[in-house]
Parts: sequence; structure tokens; C-alpha cells
Amino acid sequence: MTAAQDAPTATDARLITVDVWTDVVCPWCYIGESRLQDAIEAEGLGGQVHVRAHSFELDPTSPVGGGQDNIEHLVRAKGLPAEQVRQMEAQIKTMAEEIGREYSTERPMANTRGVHRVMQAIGEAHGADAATGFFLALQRGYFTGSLNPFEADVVVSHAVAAGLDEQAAREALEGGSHDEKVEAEVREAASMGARGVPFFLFNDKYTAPGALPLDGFRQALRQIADEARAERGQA
Amino acid sequence: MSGPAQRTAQAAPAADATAPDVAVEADDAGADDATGAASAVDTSVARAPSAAARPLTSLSSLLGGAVAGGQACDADGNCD
Repeated sequence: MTAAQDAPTATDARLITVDVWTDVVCPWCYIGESRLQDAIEAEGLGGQVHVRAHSFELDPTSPVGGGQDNIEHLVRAKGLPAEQVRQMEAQIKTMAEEIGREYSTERPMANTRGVHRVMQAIGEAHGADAATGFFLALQRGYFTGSLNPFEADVVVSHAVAAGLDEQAAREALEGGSHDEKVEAEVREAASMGARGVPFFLFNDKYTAPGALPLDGFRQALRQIADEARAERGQA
Repeated sequence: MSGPAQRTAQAAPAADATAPDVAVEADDAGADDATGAASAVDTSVARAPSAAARPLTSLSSLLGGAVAGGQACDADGNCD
């Protein structure tokens, strides 16, 4: 991205920007983003909230390319009994179902850096909306069991759908481009006090760690929207 | 892609992360000396110049502590 592109050039009319640091394989990110979307609708703020995804890696040491599932991964990485991991997954599935979302408790698991690189490449070429759309489509598909984000062709096809050239997508996925941007976003989250994800930043001002309850998101959106309207003289 | 402008985290009030047993209490912007370092490189959203280095506030402060902390996966990959 060029310096010219970095500079603010337009005014976004939407009331609220929500920056969310997230990882593809993070169940609470999926739950949190779903609750956020539900809260936006419940508050009648559709079209008024701009959600932007940012990179965060839960486990940069995960092996590239897959071969494990999420249960095996936690058993090996954390030394947890498989049954305990399954119980945790079942609890999260219940929470997902409470908000009407599908949730696959057994999923492939691998290093997510490549997906983040592709998201950064899309953001650089086509902006935050395209990058966020790409990322959330992969995350939702992963947790509903409809796709494997560790298959190169899956990632590339979604990147192309988001507007990225296929060759650029493969270069970002398989090469080392955009590593620096991924790492910068991870550092930025840490600089704000994030110790995990999801981590939300509302209107470049209010930070919230974790997937809030639906009512929490609703309260936050209501209050921040009121504040934004007041600042714009629309109160 | 990147986003928010440089910012500084303010000390948060007492942690409000009283979430269910699945919660990992990520600290709510609790680093007094934290200073954002990322560049603003978002092509789709312009931020007001005043947003640069704007101090951060915990959402729980805005809401008067009325909202329990959220559920999160920590940086060690724990999501329990």
C-alpha cells in the first residue's frame, strides 16, 4: 500500500467502526462476531456499523498444512485430555446454537498465518471491506464445517471472489509476502492490552476484550451510536 | 490491511471480566504505558485526524461496569 493510500481521503458516513482482532480458528471470535452482527440488527444499526477484521494468531507454532484436527491439536499442545477438549467444544456448540449458529465441534487445525497473509494482501489491494468479507467467510465456513481454510484452493478461490488476482493470492498464501503486516497487527493488539481474541475496538476509542454477551454488544452499540450522533450534531 | 491510528491505552478500572467459566480474562486495555504502533493503511475508511493518538477507554468504563467481560481465546491458544 502506498503512502497516498494510507492517507484519509474520504469520510465514512457510518456511525460506528468496529475493529476486531481475530483468528480463523478462534471459536469465541466466531461467536463474538455472530453476536455483534445480531446486536447490530437488533439495534437497527444495519448499514451504520463498519466491521474491520485484523490479524491475530492464536498459535503461530501450529504446523503449516494441517494433518491434525482441533481435538488432537489441543491434546498435544496443551496436554489436555481429549474428553475435556470435547466437553469444551460441546459447551461452545451449545452457545452457538443459542444464537442460531451452526458449530462443528471437530475441525481441521493448522497454522493460520497463510490465511492472514492473504487477508492482508486483499486489504492492500481492495480495502478493509473486501479483506474482512474474505476472512469472515472463511471463519464462518470453518466453524460450520462447510470448508477447510487450510486447503490452498479454498483460500485462493475465496480470495479471488474478494477481488484478488489468483497469482497474488497464491503468492501471499504460500510465499512470505505480507508477513510484516500480519505481525504489525498482532503487535498493535498487544499494544492495546489484548491478551487474546476476539478483541474489539469501537470507534478507535473503546476497547473490549472477548466475545461480549448479546446484551453487552447492544448496550455498547447504542451508547456509542448516541455519542457519535452527538459529535456529528445529529443528536 | 491495517486500521486504527496510533493510540494510547488508558488504565482500565477494575477488571470486569466476570464472565462464565469459559472466560479468559483478557485485560481490558489495562496497560498504562501501551502505545499503538501500527500505521493506518486502510483504503476504505478515513479517520478524522484527531483520531491519531486518541487515548483508549475500556468499554466497561463507558457502560459503567454493567457488562460482564467477554469470552476469549488467549494468546496461548486456550479457549476454555
